[in-house]
Amino acid sequence: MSADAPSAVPRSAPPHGLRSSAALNDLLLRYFKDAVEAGRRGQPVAWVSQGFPVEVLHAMDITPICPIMNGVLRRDTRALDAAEAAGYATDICSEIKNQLGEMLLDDYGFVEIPRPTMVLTSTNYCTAFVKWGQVVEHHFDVPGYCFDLPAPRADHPRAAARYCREQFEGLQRFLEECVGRRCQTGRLIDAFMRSEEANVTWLRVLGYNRHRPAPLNALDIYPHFLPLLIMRGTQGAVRHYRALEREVRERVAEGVATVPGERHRLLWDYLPVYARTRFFTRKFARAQASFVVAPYFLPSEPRIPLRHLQRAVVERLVRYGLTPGLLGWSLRYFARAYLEQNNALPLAARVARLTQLVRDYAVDGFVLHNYRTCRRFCASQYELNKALTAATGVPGVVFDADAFDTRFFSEGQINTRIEAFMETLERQKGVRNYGTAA
Amino acid sequence: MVEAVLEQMRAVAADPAGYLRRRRAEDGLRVVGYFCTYVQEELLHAAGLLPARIFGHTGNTSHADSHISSFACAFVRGCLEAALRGELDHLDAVVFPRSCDMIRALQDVWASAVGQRYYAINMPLVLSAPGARGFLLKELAAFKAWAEKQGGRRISATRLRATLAVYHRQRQLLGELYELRYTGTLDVNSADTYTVVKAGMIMPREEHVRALEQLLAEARPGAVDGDYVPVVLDGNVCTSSVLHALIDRLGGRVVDDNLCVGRRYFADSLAPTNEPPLVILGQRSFRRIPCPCNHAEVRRRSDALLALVRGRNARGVIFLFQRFCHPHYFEYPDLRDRLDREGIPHLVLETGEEKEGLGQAETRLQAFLEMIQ
Repeated sequence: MSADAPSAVPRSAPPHGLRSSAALNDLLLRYFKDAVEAGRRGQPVAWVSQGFPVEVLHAMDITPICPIMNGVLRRDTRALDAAEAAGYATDICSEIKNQLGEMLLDDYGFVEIPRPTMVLTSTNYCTAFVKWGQVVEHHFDVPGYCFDLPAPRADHPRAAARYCREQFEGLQRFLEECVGRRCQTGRLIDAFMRSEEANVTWLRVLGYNRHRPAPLNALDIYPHFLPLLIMRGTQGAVRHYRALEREVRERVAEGVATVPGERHRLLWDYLPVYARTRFFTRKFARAQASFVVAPYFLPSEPRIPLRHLQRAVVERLVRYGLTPGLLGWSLRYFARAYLEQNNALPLAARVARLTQLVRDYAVDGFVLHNYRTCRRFCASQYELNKALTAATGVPGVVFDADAFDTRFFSEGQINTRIEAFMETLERQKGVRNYGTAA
Repeated sequence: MVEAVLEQMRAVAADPAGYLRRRRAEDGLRVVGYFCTYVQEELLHAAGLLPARIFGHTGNTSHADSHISSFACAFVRGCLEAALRGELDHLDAVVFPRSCDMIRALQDVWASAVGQRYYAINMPLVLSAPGARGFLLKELAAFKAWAEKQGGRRISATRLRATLAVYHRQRQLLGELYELRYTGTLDVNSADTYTVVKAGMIMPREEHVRALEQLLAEARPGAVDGDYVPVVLDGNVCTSSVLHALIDRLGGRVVDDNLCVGRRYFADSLAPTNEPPLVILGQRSFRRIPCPCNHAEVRRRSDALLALVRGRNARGVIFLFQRFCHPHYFEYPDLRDRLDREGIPHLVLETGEEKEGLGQAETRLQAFLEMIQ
């Protein structure tokens, strides 16, 4: 084929080909370097668990670090071994055990992490994060705040929202006491608006995978989720997601495919097996299957986007000191947004959400990672599998492994399950194609 | 008399489903099951329902295993197995608390695989959170409305106060039972003590109170031969008295515990006062020795454990942990370190798999008791 001949096969994305990935590395390294510097200067640093409302921290010049997620780049089990030697059981959440091991070893892998001046957790994922916060508080002898996010009830939804708002106010008081200065309403609202913008831009980025062929591998893109965890509320996060969006838009315009000749579009549920993501992407790519959506990294769509609140109006309100109403409104909004985080949802709501994603992203099959040491979300993966197939008619596979602990990774067993699943997918595709042709 | 009362309670504890079915058929009682002592069962009682703690199926869990992962704790798998086998069909409904991740996962699977009517209480998990008390009050009001609907009667403040009085009496008597055993004036072994508490979570509470009164009336000085090794138990749910019985047989004696089916069921009771009864009900959740599912100051639990050990002159602590129980395993290193610093020997036994045999547990317990003798 000559160089200028039109290609019937869409262009494939080179592995790790996103320019924004290099930019992300720079952004995160700079962030951690600044955090270490801030710690050295005696400025407050908060260790937070996933899902904590870090906007409030940025508005008060407190640097949040999410050390649990930092462990995703560790490829050895040294930290796990250290935690187990200290008495943490084999069966507890490996993600957290890895972090506790790093803390005990004082070795955080690829970056330096400043010591915390406070520990902030929330219950919107699981109780394991709550326990992590308690252990870290105790280890460093620093104060902690745990944000409790109960699932809203259909019969009286306002009670949970009010409880959540009261905790936002309590958090503000706690932080003011820790850092010895007041939280400025204008800065807080600014941070909320930037957070909202980063959030919706990231949602749009992932939304491009609705295209055929999908321009991104939803399983490989998880590092880009990190700014949303620790930098939500900063201009840096907003800039990063805008640049990422431009690049992905270009990919769509050029017909770049993450998997050439995409035949199957898959949904991956729950965390990746971090040390083996390439094993999965290559294995599925060989079968021309691409991961188009991974709900864990997909925040809930805001129902009333905050961006509709005009910036000029906000500035005027702040200038004239008319902020209490606006602050109350923002807190209520964020209280609801946090309550609606998909991880706080019960199984029935998760099924409904995933069913919608199967439709929106034209998913042919789903792969459910039964993350062995995760109790909250994976204990019911078999049930999710059944319910999702019943709701969508799409086949799925559940495999046992662990996001961090590669000792639970049985390649032979996983290969067998995936191959059987791919045969089912191929068969279904054949039947569907036959059906269409007939 | 002691033996007659204990025999009655052993029968209840050995076969809760059979007992409840019979009571349902004979007395028309309507029974609502619950999974954790954080459920404010008083509201069920006040609505004319019989609250009964669920202990689950013991043995093979083949039905449950196709719905819930094998790394779910044995208690949760046992409860699901019991439901799927129809062993809980004597329950009109069940109540889930918002507690550990496994109970929440069980609630998810219950909704899709079991289909039995249930209610979930949205307990605050952070005891010190601003607004937690107000939020719990609203939750209790909603739970009260649900209980009224199930029981078909309104729960007036007077009625709820009367219920609180019954429960307060039951909890006081259970506390007294522990005291009398410790002072050697009531000869009830460790396994039977567990059985008495367990039966108290199943029988109509007024009947349990009467049985306890009869039992405690038998106390007399010097009733117990003091030749045993006193130990304290700590941990989560124990669904049977097998390990307690083993401790008894090997020459030990449980002089106190911090277990769900034990002290945590009756401690920190509150007598009804002039305050609104729902407020009193809520207060107890905040003043209890916190279950590790809650966010509370880490030291609160280890302080409470040390106080128990010292107060009862125990020679050691035996932790009974359900395998795969995150919250307890996260707190264990701190508890262990504190006990080590205080020179208090301790042992961990995993529970929930007793059906697979007690050989290993027996060897370890024997060695431990000999060591601390």
